[in-house]
Amino acid sequence: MKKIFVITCFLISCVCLYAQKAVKVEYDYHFYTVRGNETHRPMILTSSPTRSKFYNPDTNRIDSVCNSPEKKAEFDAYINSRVWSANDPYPARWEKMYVEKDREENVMTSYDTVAGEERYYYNEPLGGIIWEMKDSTETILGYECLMAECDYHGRHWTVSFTPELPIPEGPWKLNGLPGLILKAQEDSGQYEFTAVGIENYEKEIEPVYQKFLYEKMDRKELLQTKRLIDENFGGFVSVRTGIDIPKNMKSTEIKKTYDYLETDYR
Amino acid sequence: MNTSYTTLIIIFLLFIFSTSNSVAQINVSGIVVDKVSNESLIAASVIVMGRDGKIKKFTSSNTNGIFEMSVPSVKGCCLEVSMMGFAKQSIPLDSVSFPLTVYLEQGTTLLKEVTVKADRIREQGDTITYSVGSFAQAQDRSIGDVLKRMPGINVESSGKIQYQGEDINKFYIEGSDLLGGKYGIATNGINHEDVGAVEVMENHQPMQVLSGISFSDKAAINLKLKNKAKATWTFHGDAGGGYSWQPEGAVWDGELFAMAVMPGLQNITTLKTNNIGEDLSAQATDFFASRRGTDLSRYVGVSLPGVPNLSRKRTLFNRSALVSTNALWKLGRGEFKAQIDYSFNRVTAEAANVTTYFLNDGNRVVTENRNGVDRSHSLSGKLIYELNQKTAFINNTLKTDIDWDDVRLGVTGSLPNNQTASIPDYYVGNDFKIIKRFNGKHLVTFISKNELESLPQMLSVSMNEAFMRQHVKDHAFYTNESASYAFSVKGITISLEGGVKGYFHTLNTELPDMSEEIPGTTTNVLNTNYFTVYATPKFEYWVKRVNFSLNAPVSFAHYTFDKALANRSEVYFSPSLSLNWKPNNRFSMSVSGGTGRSPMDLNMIQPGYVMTNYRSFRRGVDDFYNSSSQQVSGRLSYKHARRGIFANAMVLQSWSHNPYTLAQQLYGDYIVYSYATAKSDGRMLMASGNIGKTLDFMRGSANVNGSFSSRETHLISEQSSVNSIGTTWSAGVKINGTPLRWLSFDYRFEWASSRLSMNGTSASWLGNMENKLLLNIMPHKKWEWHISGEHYRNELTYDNFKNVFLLDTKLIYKINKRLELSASLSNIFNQRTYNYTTYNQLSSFESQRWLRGRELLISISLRK
Repeated sequence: MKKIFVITCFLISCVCLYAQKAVKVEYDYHFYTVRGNETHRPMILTSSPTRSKFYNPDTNRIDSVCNSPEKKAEFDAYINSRVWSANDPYPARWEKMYVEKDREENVMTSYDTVAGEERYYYNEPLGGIIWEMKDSTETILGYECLMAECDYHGRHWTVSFTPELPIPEGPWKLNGLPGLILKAQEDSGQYEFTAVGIENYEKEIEPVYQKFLYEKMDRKELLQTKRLIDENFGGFVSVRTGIDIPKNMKSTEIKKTYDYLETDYR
Repeated sequence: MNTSYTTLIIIFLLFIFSTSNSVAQINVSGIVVDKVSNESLIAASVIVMGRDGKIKKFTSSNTNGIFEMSVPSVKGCCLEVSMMGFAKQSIPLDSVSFPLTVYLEQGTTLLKEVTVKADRIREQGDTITYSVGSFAQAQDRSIGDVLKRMPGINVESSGKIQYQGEDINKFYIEGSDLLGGKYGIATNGINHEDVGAVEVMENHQPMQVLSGISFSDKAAINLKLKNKAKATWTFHGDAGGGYSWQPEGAVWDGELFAMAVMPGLQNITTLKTNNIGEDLSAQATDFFASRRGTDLSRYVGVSLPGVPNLSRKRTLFNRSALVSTNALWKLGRGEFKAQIDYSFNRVTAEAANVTTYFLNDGNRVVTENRNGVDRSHSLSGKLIYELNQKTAFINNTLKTDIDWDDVRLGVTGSLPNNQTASIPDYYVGNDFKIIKRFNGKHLVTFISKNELESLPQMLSVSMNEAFMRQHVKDHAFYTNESASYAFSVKGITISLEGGVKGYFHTLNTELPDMSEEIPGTTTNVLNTNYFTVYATPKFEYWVKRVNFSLNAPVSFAHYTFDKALANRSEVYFSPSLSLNWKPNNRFSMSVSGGTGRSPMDLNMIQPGYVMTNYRSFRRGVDDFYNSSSQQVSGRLSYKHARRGIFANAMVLQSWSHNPYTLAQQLYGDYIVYSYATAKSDGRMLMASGNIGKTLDFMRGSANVNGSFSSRETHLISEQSSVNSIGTTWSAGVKINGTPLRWLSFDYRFEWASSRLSMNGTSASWLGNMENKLLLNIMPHKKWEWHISGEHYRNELTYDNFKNVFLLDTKLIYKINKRLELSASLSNIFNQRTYNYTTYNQLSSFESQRWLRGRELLISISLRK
């Protein structure tokens, strides 16, 4: 018994760790919809020293399937073969945003889809967020986190990041701290990202699928277009399809407190 | 004056200089470089840490590895440079000059992994996808090891897979059904690292032609392979040798597994052999095999002694080999499959019993030592052609199974005897099925089944210089030809199947020199034949979330017995009803019930005695009877894939009514089983439940299950009627996970308690408990160390427990991704026997059984 104990101690003591450079982080994306409904969606950040991608796993999966014509036909047939309901919603691109960050090129690319299928992207230089350190600390997923604050594109964000994971990354566009951002809260409480899982990632970081479908547009112009359509969705559909939408269905009632992640477009 | 003027100027300049110095910023700059490759590192985190441990300034290295920032003062500050996969560097800034070159060494960022569960289990309509990587533990080898950890999926010890408590109906690899029901070869053989995901398709209708018309409440499993395992041959092999302390001598364990999954061809070929207690014959079992139409069963039954309530691997003394090759070729729109398996199993067993009767004139001791060998060979082959399309389905399966089984069992002691049995089995059959769908609504089906089986049996017993030999010749031919038509409108399917069945069975048994103590004939010459015309109307209503189906088979059968019995004509009707409701994707329930009358098992028509082993004889009935039965069952299942919760429960109650009763009678040392013409009713109640949940915080899962069964039977023992009720409770817990990066574990607990009541008098509850824990320590990515312990606590008689503790260990060294070496030592304490003694007022019973002793095995594993 004593021998077993000695061997165990020896083996444990020679714990040697090996290099892991890329990580995969799952965030719980908590927000309120246009109509004020509270929603949680999973979001994934995969990050290597040179690149990162932030996405919703369902949207990413559908886009990867649709990337191959054969699989797309299979997927379409599957969607058409079943009756879907509120209890059993069909698999869809519910959360459409992607954010890619390329540290070699120093560029951040955001991809978004407006009104169902109109896809746009825009580039921004990476960095430039001015962070202010705070004294508070908290522990998330077992990591000691420090707090920092910033003003970014119209909103004030408070984030918790951990220098234990020296990755200048975070959810959505947030980045540039000397550690991975595990939690980000926007002051009004409308948006919040919280890390719920983290693991080593051994695969290549996949690019955003079907990039050719996205058209380039200015960031503020894209947000303005989104707002316009959100405020008059029925009208948009009428113009697009020529179908006359009844007046009472024309617009979605947008909650006064509602706005996008970025509010500096008005 | 001049001097004082100059001094003033110097003081003034110094003042100016010092003032300007106090507001000047220090430019902290440098480059971050990988110490090994000497390449600059992008995105390293660079922090100027103040004396108080607070961050004063930070940045990260740019594309060229360069960083630059200005701070007012660096006094007492430290520069911390860190990056994932590299050791943190801390440089005091008091006495350094800029620009700095910071070298980072590879190695020490430890991730406290918390599983990313968004991708662990996914749900898309009726398909649940489990990510294999997120359930696999380091100690797992085959995909079967990982399937066991997936909540909702249960893998029985035989390798049979259940999903939510029900057997699966298909096992696909990349969408192709290569192995049919012999999927144990895949679950035990395919390396889990070759599989990306496991898909479970609920309500799977394997015949596309029936999709949307006929409901299936079964699920199928599909293995999605990783790209590296597709379009190529993958191999892996193990070879191990060592020494065993009991049975003393050399031990071996070897396996070779090859798999090809290509667009036009699939092949799995495996070769296995061992003598370390691993039963291989179970791995080639066909889990989808339906009962043979020829329906023959063995009369002779000589079985080797076993060890109760211990795992088979601890008690099996074997030499086994298995060769299996399975190929699938895509031919146009159809596929052709060929499967050949051969297995050999040689099992030896020993047992010693001492019974002491406490008598007034001294004790009487009866000893019995049993020693036996069972050699069995099994060869089976299948050739299948299948076309599975939306408008047509064709399947032809030609199959053969040939088994040879020779058993020898010697008994020494107070009643010495020797038994040898030879029980080969020859079977060949062909199934043909064609279904055609017209206009989407009309279905026409033709089915033809033909089977031929021969089961000759021979048992020789020598005892007290007497010699007996039992011969049995048993042959049967079965044919079933049917046609059916179905049409479907708005979710309603009405079908009618009609056909004929024919059965020809001859039985010849002979037992010369039977003990005179037993009255009756010892020969049987029988021809039992039947001809049946049947029709099965079926009504199925399927709308959105509800499926209702009514089956009402009716048949007319004519039995002939070649003058041995009077010919008979019978009509049978056995309707059944089932209802399945799935209000949403998480919950489903079903209830079903049936009643009916059916003919007896024709093997029971056997008026003469047959010796089944040295102590027992069997006689059937001398007339034809019908029996009737009823059953009801209900099933519930719930799942929440995102939360990783799977639960199911079922209950089944059945009743049977037979016009005959099994009778057991002792004649001297012999036991005789026969049937008496007395009504006997049986009743069975079974209930079970199961809850599984993923434990994402430690990349694991947990499962709790429980079951209850009660079986009431009726028999006649020593001419008095006995009503016996056997009741069993069982519960189990399984939990596994990787709580630390270097530690994973598997824990299993099982408990069962049973009781037998006869004519209202209950014996005491007897419980068995089993605990199993495996710890896997991974001190380094190249090393693994397994320590596993098994504890059994078996209740022999009331409050009298037998405890057994067995400890194993294994050390694995992974030379690279393809090659690993391992050394295992099982049963470290070298427990060789399982002995126990039980007492009652009149006697004591002492039993000794043998366990596999300490075993050292050194293995090498290779994979491509």
